Amino acid sequence: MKTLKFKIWVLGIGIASLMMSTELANAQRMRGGGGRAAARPATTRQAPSRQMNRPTTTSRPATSRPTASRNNSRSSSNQISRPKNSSNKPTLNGGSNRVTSKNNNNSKVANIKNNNVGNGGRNNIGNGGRNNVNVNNNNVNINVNNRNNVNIRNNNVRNYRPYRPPYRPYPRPPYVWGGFGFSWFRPYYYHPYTPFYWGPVWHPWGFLAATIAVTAIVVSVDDKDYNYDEGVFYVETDDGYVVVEAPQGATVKVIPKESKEVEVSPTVNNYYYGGTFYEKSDGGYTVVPPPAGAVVDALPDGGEEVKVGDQTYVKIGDTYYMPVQEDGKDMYEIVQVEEVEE
Amino acid sequence: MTKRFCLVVMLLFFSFLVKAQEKIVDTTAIMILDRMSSIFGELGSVGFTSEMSKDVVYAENFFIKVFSKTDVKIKGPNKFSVRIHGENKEDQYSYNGEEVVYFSFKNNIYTVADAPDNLIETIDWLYEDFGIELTTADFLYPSFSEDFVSNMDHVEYLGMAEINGKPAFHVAGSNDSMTVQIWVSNDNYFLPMKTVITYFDGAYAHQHQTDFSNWILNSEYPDTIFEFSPPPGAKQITWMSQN
Repeated sequence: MKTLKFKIWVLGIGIASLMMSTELANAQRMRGGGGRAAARPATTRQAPSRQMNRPTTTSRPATSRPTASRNNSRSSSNQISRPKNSSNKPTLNGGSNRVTSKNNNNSKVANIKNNNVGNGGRNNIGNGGRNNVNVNNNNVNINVNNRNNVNIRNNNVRNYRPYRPPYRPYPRPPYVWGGFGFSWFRPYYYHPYTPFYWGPVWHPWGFLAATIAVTAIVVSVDDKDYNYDEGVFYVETDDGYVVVEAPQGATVKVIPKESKEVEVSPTVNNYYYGGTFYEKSDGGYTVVPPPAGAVVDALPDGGEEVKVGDQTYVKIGDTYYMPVQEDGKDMYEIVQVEEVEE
Repeated sequence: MTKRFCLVVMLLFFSFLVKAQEKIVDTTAIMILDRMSSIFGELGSVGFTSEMSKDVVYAENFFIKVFSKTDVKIKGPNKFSVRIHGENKEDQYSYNGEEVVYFSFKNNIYTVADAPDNLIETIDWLYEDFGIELTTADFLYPSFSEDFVSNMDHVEYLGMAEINGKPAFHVAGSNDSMTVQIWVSNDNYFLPMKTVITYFDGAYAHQHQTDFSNWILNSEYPDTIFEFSPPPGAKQITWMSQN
């Protein structure tokens, strides 16, 4: 009989230890403090009855034990502070709470025919979208604006052309885009457009100067007067002098000594300064259209990068410049863009 | 009188023959294309990789072959993410149902354009306005097999072929400006495995070949993968439309 009782007792202990190990397994899966709880002998006490009628997580507290209460309070406080699923979305967590706001990308689309790149239809590249350009050459902040209604573009002068056709034919048929054929000689090589400043007396289109140098001369084109000084053309307004696009056909006696020679053909060279091309003439230097096929190493402020098909150009006024590389140096080739029959 | 009657009959017979030669459509080919198109029509999302090679005019009388690889994820009715790994480029097109964003990883520039609210119109619009052709765009059209038959003068099932060791149905269609060959998987899904388009509309015939792999069907793509957030320093530029 004693032997039977002993056997039942041993069996009871065995079942209890079995139950304990199940509980431990749960504890280890559910919470981090399971390991410590496992070492507690408390669970061995009256294990069968307690474990049978209570769920493991609620039966565990053993409130008198500091470790247990710490564990529980941590886990319960975690549960309270953590939000439930933020929505009813059937996702892992109902959707995360973002720290950054969702981006609102603004559409920026133009087309060649309307010639309204980047500034909502105004054909005055150079101050589209900007009101406050800090031209800090003389430690003076001057607003570039158009409040005097000066047309900083001079594409209405007689015989205006956005480019001068090259002296040699293009080896490839033009890349046709929106009814226009784009032609170039060199391989496309993208590099970011970084406007170049030609020094303290040079200013981009749209710049408003309160005064200009006394050395400025008056140049007349199509019965319109311009003030010219150091490679920059100004139009006088009530508030001062606004820098405008160099009017094609204007002839000046002197161009800045920093002007660079640009090969147009084996017999013709142009001079390039501040985004303007000059050709030597009887009276000095005449403003001419950008020569397609020629390359320059710097572009002025006021341009806009535009993606045409697979390639990105810089568009300044009506002229397209394609990023290329020559002898390892970043350059821009003037692109021929002519209307084609489709 | 009898002679005249015979002449009329013969004329009718020959005119019938001439007409019959104008359009040859093999019903097996159409059945295969219909099946493929139906399966596309029932998909909620699709993902795949395509490897393309195409002949590009480099100079007069001078074609070069250009290669690219594209990872595509499309989620109906109005989302896609297309990443193109090409020679000297790594580009991404993201469509979230409202706008399409192009991003150049290499140049860190992006463009944004408001888009139509569904895939089919967006695919059309991307092609019309920006010259972008989405791989498999044709297969996504509900009227794919119908369009194929109406555009081709000759459609034929050319038998079984083997693509990457797997059996495939070889279907081809031709008209006076192009020949289109499609290899369709011989399994439950009837997915395209390869396409070769030969164009005759230029001075020289040129080809456009696409190999498809890694098809993932009806995967629950999270919407966020179709959203674009410009990385730091990325510059938005203007997107020139053709229209």
